[in-house]
Amino acid sequence: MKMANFRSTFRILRNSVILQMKSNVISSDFISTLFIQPVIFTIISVGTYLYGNKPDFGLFAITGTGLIAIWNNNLFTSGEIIRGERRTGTLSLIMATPSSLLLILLGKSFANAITSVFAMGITFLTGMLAFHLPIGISNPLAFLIGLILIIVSITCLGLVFGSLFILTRNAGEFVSVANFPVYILSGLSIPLTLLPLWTRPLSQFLTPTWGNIILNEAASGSGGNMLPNYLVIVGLSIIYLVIARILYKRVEYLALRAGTLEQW
Amino acid sequence: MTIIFTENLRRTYQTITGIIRRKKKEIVALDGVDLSIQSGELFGLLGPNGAGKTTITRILATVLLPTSGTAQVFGLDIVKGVKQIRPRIGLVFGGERGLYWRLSGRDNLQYFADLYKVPPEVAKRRIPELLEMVGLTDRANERIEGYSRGMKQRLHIARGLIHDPELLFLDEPTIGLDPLAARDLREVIRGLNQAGKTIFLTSHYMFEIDALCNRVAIMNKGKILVMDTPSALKKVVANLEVVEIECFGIPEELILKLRAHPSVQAVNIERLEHSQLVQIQAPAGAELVKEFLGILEGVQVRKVVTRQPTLEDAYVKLVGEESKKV
Repeated sequence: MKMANFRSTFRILRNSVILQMKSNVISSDFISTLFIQPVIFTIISVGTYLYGNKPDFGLFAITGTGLIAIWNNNLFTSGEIIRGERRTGTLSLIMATPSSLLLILLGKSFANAITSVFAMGITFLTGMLAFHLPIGISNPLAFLIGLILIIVSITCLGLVFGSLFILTRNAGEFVSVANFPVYILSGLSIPLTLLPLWTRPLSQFLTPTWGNIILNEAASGSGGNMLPNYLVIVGLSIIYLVIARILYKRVEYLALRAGTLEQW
Repeated sequence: MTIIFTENLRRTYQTITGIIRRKKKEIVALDGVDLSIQSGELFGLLGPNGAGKTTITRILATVLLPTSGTAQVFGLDIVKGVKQIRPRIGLVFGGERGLYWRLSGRDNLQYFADLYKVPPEVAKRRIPELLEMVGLTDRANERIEGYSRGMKQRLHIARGLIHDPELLFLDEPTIGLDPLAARDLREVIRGLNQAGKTIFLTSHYMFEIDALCNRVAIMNKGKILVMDTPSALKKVVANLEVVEIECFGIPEELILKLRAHPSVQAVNIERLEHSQLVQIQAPAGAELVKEFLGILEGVQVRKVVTRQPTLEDAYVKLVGEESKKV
């Protein structure tokens, strides 16, 4: 019986991933966050460091911009998933099924995260082509493991923010504003050392902070044992999932009470 | 066995009016609804737009919470028993929304089969059966954005049946369909009921409810006005006859004059493509046609027919009487 449940859960996740990927292929938002934004952000970010005579920050700028692209893509397309479900009238129908809404959205968000790996590739490519930066990855295996963990973790963090989209159709505006502190606190747009000390605990709670450290160390070869950083990301992902589960239960109840599932 | 039971069910919404001086306003969508529906019934809920039909359907289908009162499905409270209820009910909304347009019809059914945790070997057998039943086998692999409205609606029915539910909620399933597509869909609904499914059908098409349902409730402004079999409801107008006058450009004051006639029970105006059909309910055998035509003097009349009342006339009388009370 437990095996049957596991298979059923796997099928829901797998088919949610497939469904989302099919939908993404023809989404203009997806193309914008995956291809256009990374190019623009990389040019601005790397250019700022290079022309500020800080060429050592070139790699930092690229990994940071790549993570911004992954985060952006995950957050906005995850919000767009729920907005899309509202628009097509499927949100209340999937909520009427016995499957967990969190599980369905986890699958769909994960699909976005997988495809957003392209964004990281685009940032590296832009860095090489636009600024002729000699970018190599010293420890490809550590980089790859880190990237996979970060994508899973950012998916989980995106779900926490995504819960707001169930509650209200106007969540996009709030998330747009809440998005920027994540860039700054994670050290994706400016180095963490430039931020006041009191922001450190907040930074450490955000998975992109650790992702940036891992990717930089793996790319530059400056890191030692990566395992502790990997474990932090796994731990944070579990915390995000627990928070998301609690939030989804609550927002589902509030949305059913307010009768807003069909508003778009 | 009672499948659906509600007692004093109430649902209100809050809306906000004004921009600077914002005021909260409470809208009553359901106002103390009592229902009891038995296993195997094809139950029809009739009412004008905004009567509360969709609200009650959503509450019973567990996608909306009531403000107060009792609502039970299969003897389970719709809030506490939601996990047990959801696998046993199917939900079909009218219109084109509620499907993944970028996927094929088959993929839509497959995805919902997974969400309803239908075992793969069962889904593999059931999906072609359902596609066959709703006549979409030949188009099953096409993206549904290319489907006609009728095809989407039939796919909705197949989606609602993918997990073989005991109870099916159909919320205005034939809305916007052409007459042939609507007739086909009604045949599907009738077949499902004959196969043992309990069906809760909402509609504002009287003939549809009359043709399909064992029992009917007429609803207006969040309240159930009357609940009985279609034949019993027709008795409300059994001693009446309906005079139908098709005319062009009837002024409002003449409609008011007709309504004020002491023998007239109800007047309904149906807008046709180029004309209006005035339906006047009056006591049978009263020979009032001449008097009515006298009131309509000066209006170009195309056709006058006297006929027996239908369920629609009962509905017009009941809803009309309720509206007069406000």
